[in-house]
Amino acid sequence: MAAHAREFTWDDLAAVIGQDFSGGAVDEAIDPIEGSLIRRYCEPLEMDCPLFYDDDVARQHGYQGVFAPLSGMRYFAYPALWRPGDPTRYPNAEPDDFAAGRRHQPARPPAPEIPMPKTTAFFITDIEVEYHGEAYVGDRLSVRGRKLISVTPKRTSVGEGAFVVWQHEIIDQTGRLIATLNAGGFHYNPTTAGG
Amino acid sequence: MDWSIQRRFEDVQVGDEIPSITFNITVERLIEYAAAVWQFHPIHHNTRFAQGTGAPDMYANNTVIQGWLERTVREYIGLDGRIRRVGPVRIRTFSCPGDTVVTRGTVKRKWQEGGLGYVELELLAEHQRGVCVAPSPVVVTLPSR
Repeated sequence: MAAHAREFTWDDLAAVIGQDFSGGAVDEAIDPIEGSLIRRYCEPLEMDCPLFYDDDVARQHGYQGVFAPLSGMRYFAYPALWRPGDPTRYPNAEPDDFAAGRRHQPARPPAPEIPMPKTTAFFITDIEVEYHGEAYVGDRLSVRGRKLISVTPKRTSVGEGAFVVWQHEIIDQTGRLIATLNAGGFHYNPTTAGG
Repeated sequence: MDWSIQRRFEDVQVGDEIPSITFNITVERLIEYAAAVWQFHPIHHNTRFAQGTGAPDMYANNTVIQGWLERTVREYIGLDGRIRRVGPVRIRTFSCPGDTVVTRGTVKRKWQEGGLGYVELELLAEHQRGVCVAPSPVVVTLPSR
């Protein structure tokens, strides 16, 4: 990655609210939705709704068949962790090595640089989803768009940073819009540990 | 859960309570969640790493939290109910192993539009350290009689 000419501020990021930083990229899930994927999602939630495992029941209630729980939609659209040809994600045996930061990066068209300050920690804080349809077994989801919705600098108990909200769209293999997702997270530099 | 019971638009009144569901959080359950969504960021399964980011321990990821709400809503609206919109859902604090999360909710309003019966629910989740998911709107539709 090219070095920044200067450090960005949260004001720099707030100045580009409304801009789409996806560069037109559409990230496709590595696999189509499968019954086993839905089952594994429902198991730890102990969610026994038959719409998620009984095709006949789903059809009797107006659906085209078993579909994916709406709450997991974003992850049913995830790309792979690693693909053949990628470098190793585990270059050392450091127990707490951050391999999650080395997910497979799908080929994407050039995208605008995001004028965002560097931070070392992040977690999701806000989710807002409008559902336009179901994602069925056999559908292959993709995520398109990365529109900046809001920037709210704040110091919290875990550190100083900003709440940043992005908007994405989830579509199926035909381009049908499944969901519009606003995902917000807190980007910060930790000031305390174990607090 | 008896899925043969279908709640209808006419059955619902503003102020009605939505049955709570309890989710006990263990390390194993968090790892099952992480595996289910193929999301292995160590804040969700590694205590040392999570504490280095200021969290008290590894904690539930946002999809799990949405799952708690979805299960609670599904069991309320039945097989003929439809979830139309969720959120904004604001996650207030971490949900960690040892926490017992309980979802709660009420009916905030109901209206008819385009031949459909809409109901806005307000759901939250709390554990013994306080509210972990702030009151959040969920808009559903229910069948009419």
